[in-house]
Amino acid sequence: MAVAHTTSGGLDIRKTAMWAFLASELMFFGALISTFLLYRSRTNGGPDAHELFDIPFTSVSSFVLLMSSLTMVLAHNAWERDDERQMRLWLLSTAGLGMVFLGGQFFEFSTFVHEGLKLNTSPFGSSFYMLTGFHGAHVAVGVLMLSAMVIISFRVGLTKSRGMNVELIALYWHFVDIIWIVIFTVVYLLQV
Amino acid sequence: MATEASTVEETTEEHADHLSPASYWMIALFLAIVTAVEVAITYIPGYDGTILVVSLLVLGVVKFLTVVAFFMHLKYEPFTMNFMFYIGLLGALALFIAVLLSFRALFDTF
Repeated sequence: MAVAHTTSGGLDIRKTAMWAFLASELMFFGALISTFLLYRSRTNGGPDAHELFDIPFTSVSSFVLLMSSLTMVLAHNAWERDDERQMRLWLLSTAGLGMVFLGGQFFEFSTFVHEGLKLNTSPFGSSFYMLTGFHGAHVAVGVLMLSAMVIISFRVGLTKSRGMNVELIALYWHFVDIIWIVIFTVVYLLQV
Repeated sequence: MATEASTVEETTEEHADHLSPASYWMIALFLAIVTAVEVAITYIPGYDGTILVVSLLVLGVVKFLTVVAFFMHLKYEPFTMNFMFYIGLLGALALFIAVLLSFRALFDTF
């Protein structure tokens, strides 16, 4: 039996739901960024942003995440053309770039902890780790979903007629990228 | 069955406006250049204060909207989806201003 995936207005209900979810996520990250800006100067004698942030390193991480948006849109494009081989290649590249970004974040957190900024050092530390940590968790979830897509593609195929999973994951992944664009500008560049 | 077929057809038509892979590479190059400019201006001596803050915010907004419009294809989506996303964005901005105003920190933020 065919299942209608459209709203009464003719919109695809899964895509509509994804946009609604992303809108709620914008407010979630808006709250975390506001909290960081409120507490950024409360260091309790611990290190501050100026002492800790390594802008060249974070710029490379930002570049990696931006390029992962490119590979994701190329995967989506291949999916639209029903070119499953290309789609798998770009999905794997996106997941790989996501893992590189996560590796960079792990290295950055380790360095900060080594330099004296722990989660409970100061309101600055707590709000910084909460914001960037939640973003990193979103990247990790994205990497898991991308990997699942590749496995599904190998097992049963992911052609266009099988639904729009690739498109929904692409939306999620680009969202993670735009949140990082805001974090990179407001949290890193404007604080040093 | 008919519903499924028409949904696929609509989706195909809807995506006919999407860009080519070469255009996506050009957009990514543009984003990389804007990021490089963002980082470079933070190192220019004397380029600081309000002008630096405004420049970084403008460049950040340009990158944000480019990804949303072209990579997320919001430019090609119906009004309802644009409305939902921008309502969320406005909600986030309203929350940001309300929180910082509550703590009298809005003008000290940048």
